[in-house]
Amino acid sequence: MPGFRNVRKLAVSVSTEGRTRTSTIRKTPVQASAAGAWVDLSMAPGIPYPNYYASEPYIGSVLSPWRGILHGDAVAPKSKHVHVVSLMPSAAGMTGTYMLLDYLLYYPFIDLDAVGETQVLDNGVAIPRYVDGEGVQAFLVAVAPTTGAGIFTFDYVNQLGQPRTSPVHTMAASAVSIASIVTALPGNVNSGYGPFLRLLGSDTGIRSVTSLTMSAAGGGLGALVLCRPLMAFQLFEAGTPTECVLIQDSKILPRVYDGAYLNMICQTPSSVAGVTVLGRMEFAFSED
Amino acid sequence: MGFTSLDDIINQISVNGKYLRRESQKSTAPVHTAGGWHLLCGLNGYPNQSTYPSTTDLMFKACTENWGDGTTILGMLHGGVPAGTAPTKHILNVGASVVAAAGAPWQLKLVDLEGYYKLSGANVTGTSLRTCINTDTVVASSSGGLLLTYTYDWNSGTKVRFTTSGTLPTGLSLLTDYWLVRQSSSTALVATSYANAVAGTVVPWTDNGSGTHTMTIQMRNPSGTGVEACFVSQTLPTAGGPEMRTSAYTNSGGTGTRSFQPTASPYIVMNATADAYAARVIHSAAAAGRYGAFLPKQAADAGIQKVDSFTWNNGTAYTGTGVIELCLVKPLCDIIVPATGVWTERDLVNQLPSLPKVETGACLAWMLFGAGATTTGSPVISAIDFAWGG
Repeated sequence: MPGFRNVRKLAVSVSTEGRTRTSTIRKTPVQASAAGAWVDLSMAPGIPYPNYYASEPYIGSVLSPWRGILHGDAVAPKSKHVHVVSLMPSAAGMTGTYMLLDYLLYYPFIDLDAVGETQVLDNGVAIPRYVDGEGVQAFLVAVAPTTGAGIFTFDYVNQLGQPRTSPVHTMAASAVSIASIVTALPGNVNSGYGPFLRLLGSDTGIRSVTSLTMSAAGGGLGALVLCRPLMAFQLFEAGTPTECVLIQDSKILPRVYDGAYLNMICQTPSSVAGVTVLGRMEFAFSED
Repeated sequence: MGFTSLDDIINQISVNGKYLRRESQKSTAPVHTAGGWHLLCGLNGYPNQSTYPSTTDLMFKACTENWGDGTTILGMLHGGVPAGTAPTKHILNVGASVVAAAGAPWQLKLVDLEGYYKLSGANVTGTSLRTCINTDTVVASSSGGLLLTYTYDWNSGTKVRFTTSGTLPTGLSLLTDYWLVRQSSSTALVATSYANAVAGTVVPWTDNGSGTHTMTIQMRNPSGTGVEACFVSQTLPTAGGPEMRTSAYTNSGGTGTRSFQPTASPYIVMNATADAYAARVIHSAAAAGRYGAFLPKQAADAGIQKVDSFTWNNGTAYTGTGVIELCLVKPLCDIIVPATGVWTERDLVNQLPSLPKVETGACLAWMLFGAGATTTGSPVISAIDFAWGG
């Protein structure tokens, strides 16, 4: 049985039995972002060092767990969980809402100017860890600056294995810099619904994305990222650490599967450029 | 034994006086580069600066509260062996501040420094296998008690176990912990507990046993549970930045031939000179192949009993006259210092895990992580509240 049978098991794992891993986090984005935008911190310099989604266009690729927020080697058959999150923004630009994600798969260098062209995505690599796609979300992040107002749909396979076409999505009306999630700002109708792309009807997850079609040009290039959200938390104030001891605060210890590439996205009240977020994450793994 | 309840903590502190507060202050040097961890016991201040003495490269030098590194008391004193019935010492609260023109915010990590393996000369610059010295062959005799004679200069307070091809000297048993009381660079008496070692109460001589006796180091934290490893610079190399692709350690379960991870790209990379100055953890930086304060352990390993070997045989080999220590530490707690001159406190009674245990003889030291480039000569000040039960 994964996880911890009781609080004592967790406390003992961490305090006396050494079943814990700690990661240092220090991120200082360089790209400007708009107020209220969602930003992909995996692309920010620092610790862990930046990810640029730099691989062959359109081909689904996975990220190495050793290049994300470090949570240690595989522990199977034990299970590993987030135990403590402690982060502090150095200035107001990095306050706001943070999400810890398991980045599962990405499709790089999607042309956001290719109007009318069905850009077929390669799924030679299957989605890892959440193989049925249940709970898997997607976001589209700029890997080259956009010009804004693009419109697109994408074809995907849902958590039941059914082929679907997404609702119409509109990019932010204004240009966004690298590392900003292109749909996350209100601009026109069909935009500003948060960081993740909307799915059709009652779909609850994505198993793969098969193509993306632009119906209006948005400029730039994007990486479409499949991810599994693990937890969300708030950084309230510059210079004030937010500490979450999850067993006490939320009673939920998100599971981190072996091989997970962990990183964060954030929504901040002003540009993230040049502002630092510092802290650590601690992970605990079970006795058996 | 710990504490049976919050009432017990209050009673032990207020009625029985089982409480202690200790302060420390270290001065950073040289200017730090951003995004790196530093082990502060090699810096000036209080406790005194350690020069990580060792007459033999790659041998384990145990560090303890009472004997330090064998030359200097480098750890924060925390009251010695607590009195009582099976007492255990715990941390109630930590406080810290950093006063620096630059470098904020900081993260401080309190660790118990178990000891270190010193690397110098070709052990820093070479590409061959480095084999660590964790054992010694001992010959028993009588001199003031059961006297052991061996090859390497082991520190007082080194925790050991004995094995033999024949019969151990009377007074020693297999699978039992003992503590050395150094008499010279090649001899020591033996105590049955750390407290006895401090008191000079040693095992009397009865006989020398038979066969060949071997002594193996042990971690203060039982079986090395929770113990981590890190390379710390004492003197920066001239140039280079090797990779560590091969290593071997014994985990807390006693399984050897474990490897620090990853063993495929992206390998662990040691920093170049600019990030390998004194006190720096040389595999911590904002770059590929740097994995933070500690070398990642294999699979679900819960600790390190000893490091057996490693190789720096890829990347760019270090040159010059650098000196590095491979340190074994047990992390105890963390605290964030958000800005210069701001005193931050952490109450360790009311969170999980709570009341971190301080093992008898623990050598307490701070590690510092700076978001920015911490100015040289910046004081790092701390205070720790201890209590013990039993």
